Amino acid sequence: MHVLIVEDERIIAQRLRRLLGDLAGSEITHIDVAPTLAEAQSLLGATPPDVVFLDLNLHGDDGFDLLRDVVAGAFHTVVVSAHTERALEAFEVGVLDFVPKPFGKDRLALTLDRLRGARAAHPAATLAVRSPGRIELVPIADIAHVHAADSYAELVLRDGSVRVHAKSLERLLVLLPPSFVQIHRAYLVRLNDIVQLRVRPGSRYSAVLASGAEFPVGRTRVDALRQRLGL
Amino acid sequence: MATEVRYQYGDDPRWAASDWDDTEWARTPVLALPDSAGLMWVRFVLDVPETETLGLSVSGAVARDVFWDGILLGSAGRVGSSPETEVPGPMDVDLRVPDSLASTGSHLVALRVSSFQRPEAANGLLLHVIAGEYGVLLREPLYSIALPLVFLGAFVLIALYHGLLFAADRRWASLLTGMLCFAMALLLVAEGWRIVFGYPYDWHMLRLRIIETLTWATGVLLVATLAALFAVPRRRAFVLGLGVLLAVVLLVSGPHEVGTFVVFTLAIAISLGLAAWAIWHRKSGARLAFSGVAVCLVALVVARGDFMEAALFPAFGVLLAGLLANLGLQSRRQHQRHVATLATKARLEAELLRKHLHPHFLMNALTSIIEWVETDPPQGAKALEALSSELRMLADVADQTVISMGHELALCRAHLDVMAYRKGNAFVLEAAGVDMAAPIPPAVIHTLVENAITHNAYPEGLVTFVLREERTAAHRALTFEAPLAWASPAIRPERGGLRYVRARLDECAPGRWSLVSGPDSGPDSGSNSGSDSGLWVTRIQLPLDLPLEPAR
Repeated sequence: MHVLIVEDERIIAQRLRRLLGDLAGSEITHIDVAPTLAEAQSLLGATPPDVVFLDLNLHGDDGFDLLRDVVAGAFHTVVVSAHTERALEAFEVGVLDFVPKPFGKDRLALTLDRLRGARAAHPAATLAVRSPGRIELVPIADIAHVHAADSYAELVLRDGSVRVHAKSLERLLVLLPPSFVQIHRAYLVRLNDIVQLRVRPGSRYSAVLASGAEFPVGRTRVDALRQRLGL
Repeated sequence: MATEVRYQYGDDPRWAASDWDDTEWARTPVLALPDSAGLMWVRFVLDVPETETLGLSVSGAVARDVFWDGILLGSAGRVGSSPETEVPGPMDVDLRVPDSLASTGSHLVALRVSSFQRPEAANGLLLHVIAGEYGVLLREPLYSIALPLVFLGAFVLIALYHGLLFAADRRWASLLTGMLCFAMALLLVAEGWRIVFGYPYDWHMLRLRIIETLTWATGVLLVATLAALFAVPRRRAFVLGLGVLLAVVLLVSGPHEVGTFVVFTLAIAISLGLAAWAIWHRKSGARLAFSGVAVCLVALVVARGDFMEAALFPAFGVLLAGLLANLGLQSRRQHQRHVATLATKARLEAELLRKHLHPHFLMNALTSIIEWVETDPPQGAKALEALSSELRMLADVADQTVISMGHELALCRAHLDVMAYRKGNAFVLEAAGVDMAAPIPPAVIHTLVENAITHNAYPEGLVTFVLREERTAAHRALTFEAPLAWASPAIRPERGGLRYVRARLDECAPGRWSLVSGPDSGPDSGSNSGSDSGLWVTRIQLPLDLPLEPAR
């Protein structure tokens, strides 16, 4: 796991580095620290991290405008901030976790659990999607299903239009509400949209959605899906 | 009194007789008697109304014997043929005509007069003779002076009040209002003196000069007071010029009545102009001043012929009412200012304390301290002590208007200690040559230090801030220099921190401070501003006479 810490307080950055090393030393391959946004951006360009620990008040700036830009990236974002009153706001745009200052080892262990595949502490209300020149906030309610496309994800909206998100399908699943299920290596759909589990020749399964669309269901995921559907 | 009189130089007791043939004597309107100091006789016929007790009031700047149908009624002073033999008597005498002589109809009045003691020629001999009810003649002048005497008391009180006010607030407007009321009070005394106390006729011209001078002073002070009240630009030169102009007008405008009327009317007209200017510039109290002065001007113009007696006192009354109303307004404004000052003080105190209980400061500090506690417990304890020490100092100074520079620098160094534990830098504040006893509003330098650390991304190592002090005759300039290492390339606009500094400076020295803040890359690279090297310089100028409250 490659970690980037964006924090202008040297001792706090040092604390994050030390605690993460203690908790997940074997998983973490590399930890970078950037005290300014300019340095963070140049590091993001060089080697994309898996997760960014971000202090939102760098050098007296209110970093919430910047947060939308950060969460549109391929990596997970964990906000580390003294401003607990703005945690919900951060979750709504799709951060994995919000660690309030001051924090201890136990709290960071929880963050690492979430990173390892559990759900985010709060599901996102919107997903920030980067398109040339701007960031679009796509409401989760508008998303019909999600397809994998290389290392990216295609968000298919209810109106049929498509947005490309930089995050992988697995990382998006962590941020989305529990109503989204992964039925296949390459597909996330809404559980409530599934109207039928169809059996195909050769013990293959597919899910039929209310819209009439049909998606393959991975062999290893059939049992779990049956259970969720109550079949 | 008869409008035409006959007069003759010389002296002959027979000229008192009612049947003396004066047809060869010179004739003249009573106001045009020659300006001669010599001994002369004046004769005229007086029609006497029906009275119970006949009296004769004879006024004039002359020594005189008064004859009624050839019989001597009385004298004022002793008439003489030379300055040595003449004794000046009172200006005004009221004589009783014996009932046996007081029949209705025409009577001959003969006056034997001399005026050797008059210092300069006035308009004629200033003779004034009235016949009437003796009691009424005695009392009437007192009625006319009663109201002005009431005003006199009021003016003296208001003058005293403004004198005390000036001792407390040192405002020109207070001093000038006090002087204006005092000049008006003196003018009333000078006007009333003749009626209340009387004086020998040779004092008359002196009194008139005093009245003229006081009228001039009242006019100039009225304009000066309004100019100071409304903070008219270049008012010193304006008032000085007006003073000279009114003095010249007074000297060239002839008779006493005309001079005082013109001077006073001019001053009132100019005051009206000033009040109009103040209304145009939305000064508080301007409308009140305008209406007061306007009523005063109308009263003057309407009563023009009888200025001193009829118009002066009502006009003063209106001015007095205006001044009193203005006093009321002022004290209300002062109260409002006082309340606003208290509110500002409370707001600044809350702002300073809130900033340090704000999560960004407190939680970041605590996170760093926990790291120290876990990795190096003795250092952790010291970090906690540093934070406690800064918070305690802030709580101590937050409610003060000024503290000593020594106290302020201790606060700065407490903050630098805390920040050293957070940032991992060594911070130094140099303040060689700074007067430690001099006053400064609390947390002003502290805020500059805080801003510098917040907005810069200093690399590891030593960071040195410098505070310098220079003094001129009237000012103290504090220069704070912070090394530049901007976190982002854009120069930052002024933030909350400097707003706090400005508010604090304005609280302790309203309008008498200045603050300039900007990059300074050194003397030889002035154009290189905004780069990530060089200095950020903040320069604060304070007056030397800041009051230093005792530090608690």
